[in-house]
Amino acid sequence: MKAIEIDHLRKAFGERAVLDDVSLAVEKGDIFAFLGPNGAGKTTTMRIVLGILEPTAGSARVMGEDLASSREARGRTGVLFERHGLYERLTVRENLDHYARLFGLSDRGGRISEVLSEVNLTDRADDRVASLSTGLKRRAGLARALLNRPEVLFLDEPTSGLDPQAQLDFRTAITRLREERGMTVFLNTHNLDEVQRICTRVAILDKGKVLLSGTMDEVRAPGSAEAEVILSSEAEAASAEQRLAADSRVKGIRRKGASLQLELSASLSARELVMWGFDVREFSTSRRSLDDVYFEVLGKGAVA
Amino acid sequence: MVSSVARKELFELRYNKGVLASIAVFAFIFCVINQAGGSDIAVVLLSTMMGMYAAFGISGQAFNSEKLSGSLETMFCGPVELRELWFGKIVGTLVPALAVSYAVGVLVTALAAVRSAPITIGLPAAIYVIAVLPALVAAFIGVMGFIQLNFNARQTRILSTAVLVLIISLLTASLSLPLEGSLISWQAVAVMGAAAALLLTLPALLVNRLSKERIVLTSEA
Repeated sequence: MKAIEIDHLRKAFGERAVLDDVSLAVEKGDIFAFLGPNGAGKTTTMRIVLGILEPTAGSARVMGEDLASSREARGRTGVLFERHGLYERLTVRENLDHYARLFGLSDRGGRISEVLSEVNLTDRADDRVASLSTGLKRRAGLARALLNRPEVLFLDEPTSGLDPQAQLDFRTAITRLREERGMTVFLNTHNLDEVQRICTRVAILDKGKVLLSGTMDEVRAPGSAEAEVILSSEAEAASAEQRLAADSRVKGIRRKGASLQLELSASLSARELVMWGFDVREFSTSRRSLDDVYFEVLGKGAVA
Repeated sequence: MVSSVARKELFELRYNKGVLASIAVFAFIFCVINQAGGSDIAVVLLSTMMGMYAAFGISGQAFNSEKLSGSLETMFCGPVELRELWFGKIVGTLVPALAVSYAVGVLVTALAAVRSAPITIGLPAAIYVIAVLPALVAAFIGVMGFIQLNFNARQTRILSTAVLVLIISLLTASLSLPLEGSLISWQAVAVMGAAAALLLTLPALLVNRLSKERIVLTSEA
C-alpha cells in the first residue's frame, strides 16, 4: 500500500478549474516535495488529500483511507500549515495539552515533554505562543503536528519566513524523523534548495497540472547536463567533436586543446566514446540541479 | 470530544481580558442605570440580553478568531468531526455567557433592594431563568457561530454589527419599563419555553448547512 495515492484529481471553483487530472503516488518513508509557483494548486491538492476540500472528480487516499471520512486515519497523520494553527493566547504546553486530549493520548504529560525535546523547545514550553518568534512558533507547530506520532506528516511551506539557521534546524528535524521512524513526509514548498537537500521524491505542478514527477534521481536523470571529456590529443578531440556534433543528445560543444565541454540533453557515457574508437583519458559529468529542471519544465509546460 | 473542545474555550477565555473587561463593564453599567425598579421583568430582560451580549463577545473568539487564524483548519485535520467542534464551541460559549446572565440577575435584584424597591421573583420568572434562558442563549450562539463560520469577513462584520445594534437597543429599551411586581406569567413562560425548545433545534439544523470547505474558503476571502 502506498502512503499517499492521488488518482485523477480535479477541482473547480465554479467555472475556474484549479486542478486538472492530478495523479501522484508517494511511497512509505519518502520525503515528497510538491513544487510549483504560487497559485499552481499545491495547497488545494493538500487540502483535498486532508479531507478539507471536496474534489470535483477523482480521489485521494492516505494509507488507503479517505481522510474526509476516516477519523481513525486522521488520527495517524500530522499537519503543519503555513499558519501554525496554535492558540496565541495559550502557552505552548497548554496548546499541546489541548491537542493531546483531542488525540486521546494516555500519557499526555510525558508525550508533551518528549515532543518538546524533539523540537528543542523545552525551555519555552510555558511561554505564550504570542510571545514567540516566527521560527519558534513554527517549531511549536511542528511539535503539535508530531504529538500523535503520525505515520504521514503534511507540511505546507514550513520554512517560509524563517532565517537560515531556523531553516536548517527544521530540515534536520524532518530528516531525523524520517530516519528514526520511517515517517512519510508530504512537503509543499517553493524552496528548491530545501528539496534538493532532504527530499527523495518530487513532483512539479503548474496551473493545476503535474508537469513532472519521480524520484530525485529520475527527475534529474535527463540532466547529466554537462560532461567534460579529455582525449589523448588535440587531433583526437577535433575528431570526437565532429562525431559528437552529429549526436542528437549533444546540445552544445566547446573544444579547448584536447578537452571537450559537452552540454547534453540525455546521458552519454565514456564507454560509448571508447566504442566509437576514441582514446578517452578522462570523462566526468555533472548532474543538472533541480533549479535547472524546475525552470526548464515550467518554461516548457510539458507533460512528462 | 465535545467536552475537550468546550474545555479549551473556557480555558482560553481566561486570557481574553479584552472581552472579559468589555462584558463586565457593560453588565455593570446596565445594572446600575436600570430604572425598571421592582419588576421581575427587569431581571428577565436584563439577564437575557446581557447573556446574549456576553455570548456575542465570546463567540467572536470561539468561532471567528479561530477561523481567521487558521487553527480551525488545523483542527479539521485531527480526529474531530465538524459537528463535535460545533457543539463543543457552543457549550464553551454558553457556560460563561450564562454565568454573566445569572450574575446580572443577582446584581439587578440586589441593587433594587438597596434602592428600597425590592424585586419579587415569582416562580414563573425563576423557571424562565433556569430552563428557558439557557435554551435562548444557546440558540443565539448557534446563530452567531453560523454567521461567523459561513460568511466571509466583510459579511460577518455587517451581520454582527446588526446583531449588536439590536441587542443594545433592546437593552436600552428594557431600562425604562415603568413596571412593578411579579409580572412574568405562566402563560408567558410557556410560550417562551415552547419557542426555546424550537430554537434549541436551530444549532443542530445550522451545523448541517456548514462544511469544512466553506469555512476554510471564506477565511481567505
